[in-house]
Amino acid sequence: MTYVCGWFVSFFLFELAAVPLILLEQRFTMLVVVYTGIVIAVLSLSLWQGRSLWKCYYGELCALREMPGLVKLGWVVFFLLVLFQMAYAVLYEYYDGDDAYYIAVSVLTEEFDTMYMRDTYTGYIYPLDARHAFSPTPVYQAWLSRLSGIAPAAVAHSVLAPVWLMFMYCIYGQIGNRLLWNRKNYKPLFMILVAIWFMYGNISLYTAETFAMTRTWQGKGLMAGMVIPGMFLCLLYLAQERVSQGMWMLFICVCLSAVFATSIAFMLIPTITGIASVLIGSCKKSMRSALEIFLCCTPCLLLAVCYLVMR
Amino acid sequence: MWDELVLAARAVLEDVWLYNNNSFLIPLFLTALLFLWVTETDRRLRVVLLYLVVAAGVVFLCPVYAWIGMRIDADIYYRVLWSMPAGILVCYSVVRLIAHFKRRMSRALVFVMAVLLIMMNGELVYTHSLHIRSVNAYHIPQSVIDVADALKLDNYKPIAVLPAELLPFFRQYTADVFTPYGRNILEPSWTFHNELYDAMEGDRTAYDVAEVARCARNNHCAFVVLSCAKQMNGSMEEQGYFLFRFVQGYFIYMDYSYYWVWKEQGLLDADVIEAGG
Repeated sequence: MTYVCGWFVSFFLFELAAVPLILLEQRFTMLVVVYTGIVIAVLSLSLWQGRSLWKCYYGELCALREMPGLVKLGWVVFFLLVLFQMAYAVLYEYYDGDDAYYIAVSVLTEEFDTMYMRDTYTGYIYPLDARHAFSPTPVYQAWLSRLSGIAPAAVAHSVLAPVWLMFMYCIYGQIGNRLLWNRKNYKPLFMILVAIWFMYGNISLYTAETFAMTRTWQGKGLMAGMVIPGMFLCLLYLAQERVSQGMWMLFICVCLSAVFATSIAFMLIPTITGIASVLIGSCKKSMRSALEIFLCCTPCLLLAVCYLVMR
Repeated sequence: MWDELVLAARAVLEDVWLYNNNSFLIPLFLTALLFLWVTETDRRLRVVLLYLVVAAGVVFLCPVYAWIGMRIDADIYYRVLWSMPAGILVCYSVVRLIAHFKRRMSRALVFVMAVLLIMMNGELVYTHSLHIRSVNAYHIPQSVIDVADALKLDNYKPIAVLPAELLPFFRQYTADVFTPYGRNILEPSWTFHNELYDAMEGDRTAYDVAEVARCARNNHCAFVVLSCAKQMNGSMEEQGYFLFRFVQGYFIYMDYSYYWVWKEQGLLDADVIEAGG
């Protein structure tokens, strides 16, 4: 769960830092300095605050030994499947026309030190592309590229593709934890089925599975494979009687991560959150719960208003 | 208004049809939904996995909602279907079904049948899509990298025109070279037009060199990249260009008018100066 939270928090913070700077037409270097500073501060704080967690991780590792043989075998099969998918993502390339836009944005951002101020196809100076500026996944990849010294295309195709696949399965792992809380031994079966489901989900160009497996590094792939399952994960926990503060924070991060990924979030997130707030509020017979859930998508709604104004 | 709602409803149904593509995904999802509706007893799980999914499905299929969504962006409305957690519901249903059986053999049988059902009705992403063995970490053709490296100058960013097959990848590799058009021109629905593109790609088998050279000059291109797979009707040298390099099946020509100016200004690399003489 820590790993899953880490990614969503990083997307959330990036969205908050990047969008104002992009709209103010600031240099990319400024964003790099600001966001890297925020990440270092949050990382230091969380390492200090969470220092006791290492013992828990160690305890969980020790508990692996006590698993029944068949469960262990299940996990081995699952991890082999994921390893295969990750290796395939690195060793094989998939032609997608949209990369000519998204990765080009990262390349131009890195090279010219501007954000959404260049025509992606020609490289010429261009007015601010406000339509795409609210979902700055390519700028995030340019930030990774600047920090690592690896070219944006390599960051997207050879680094993020396998890493975000693992991230996706971690989210499904947490969903499995919640769904099968009283049947823990069945979790590897659930995960194997999920891995196979994704491998064989390419029934059309439009499915979430196709996007998650073939365009993992793009905002759309992130939305289909990670953000929407992340949202369901949060809602599964928010529907419980007692909800931890961390889960509320994660839900806010997921809602804004959706905007970070793609602009369809402006429509999708308020709709799902709205329906969920009514249903969960009715289930708990609590107006306050309903309101609290819906309020989590306020940042998303505010950005939606800005998007519609600037569009 | 009524007609627009009818059109929106039709468009939604078409989206669902294309999404499912005569396949098992939606039927299996609906079966899993029904199965969980009958068997799931945890009230909190029911709210999220069943009521929320059904309510969201109804809203997304509602013509009024679809009409609003399509007014924002009709091309991507199908993405609302991503929020139907088909994978979660189907896999969870199978696990619940497996757990229902007491005997290990029965459980194994259900699991194998479920896996086979998914495999036989689904399409393996690696064979059904355009995956090819990558030759570099960038996941772009090596010819693009070699041509881009040849075009880059240490002290200046030139404008170069490229054959259509290089356009989708070129900008993914470098921003050191400008182009008069990019992959946008390859999408007929985007209705971009450029006379240089017409000169470069109008004839699939040959280049009208004089026309290419004229249009390239109009578009301020210092470099012209031509594929060796196509014939050249005429000579680039006669048009005031020199052959700078031949890379991975592509002739890279430089315009002498830029060459002399840039040479005088000290903007050219040594290899370009050597080729230009």
